Amino acid sequence: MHTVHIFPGQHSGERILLLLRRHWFVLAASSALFILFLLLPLLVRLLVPIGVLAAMSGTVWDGVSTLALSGYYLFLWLFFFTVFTDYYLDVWILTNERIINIEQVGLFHRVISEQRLLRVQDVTSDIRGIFPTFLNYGNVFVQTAGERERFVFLQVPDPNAVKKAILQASEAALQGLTPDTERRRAYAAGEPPATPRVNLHPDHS
Amino acid sequence: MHIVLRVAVVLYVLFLLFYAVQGAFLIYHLRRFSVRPDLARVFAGVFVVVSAGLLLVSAGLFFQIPWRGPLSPSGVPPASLTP
Repeated sequence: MHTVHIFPGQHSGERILLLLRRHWFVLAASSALFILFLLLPLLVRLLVPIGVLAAMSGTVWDGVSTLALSGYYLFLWLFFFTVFTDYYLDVWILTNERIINIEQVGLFHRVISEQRLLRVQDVTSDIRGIFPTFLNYGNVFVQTAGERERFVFLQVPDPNAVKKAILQASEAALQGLTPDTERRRAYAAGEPPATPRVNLHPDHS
Repeated sequence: MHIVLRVAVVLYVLFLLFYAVQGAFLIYHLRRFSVRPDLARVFAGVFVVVSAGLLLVSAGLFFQIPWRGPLSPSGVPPASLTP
């Protein structure tokens, strides 16, 4: 959870309650894979017959193989940073007015969803697996009355605390309603607006 | 220019172009969409520094290769590589 006071598109008077990213372990697990790929050339070097290496010595191919190795590490670094950028730009924001889901699906593909807290109906936290249990991270599902019925906070730290924070923020938003509470309550529950009474036969007497 | 060197230069330039374009895309996304611009600057800086170091090493290796040298020790394919 990060201390941020403003974000793009923030309304006047809107306060950030939570700003979340995926748990650090998710990035660490990807990094472990890259470390394995870093060591792969050493393994290949061990498997190549000594005769081949001796034959290449003193030729153009000796230098080309070293250059290829350098290119391999460059691409590996580029790929790792792409994965990191994707991790870093996936953000979930809880404010005193709404929840915002910003998902960077890939380069040049960004999905931003938001829903007002008044439309939050149900919040569920889900911790599944050995590492998530020990490290206390998991998913938070937010059921809403909007077009997008379910928001998912993926692999966030302390999902139980996030769930409580969302519910508290939703309750606070409902309690802060102005008069005409019943209409707003119906709106929050996703109920259709009440049909206004119209007198089709006005009294002409 | 020696044919091998010509081909190597073209391929290397293409490789550098691809890397530069992809790197620019990453920095653009970081600077444009990050919620914390100060952190985005740090991460972009780290990427540029590490990439520059790796590219310098790569360029150094490229220019050290004896492109006009032999393709094999005796000018013929090595025995271990012939069927």
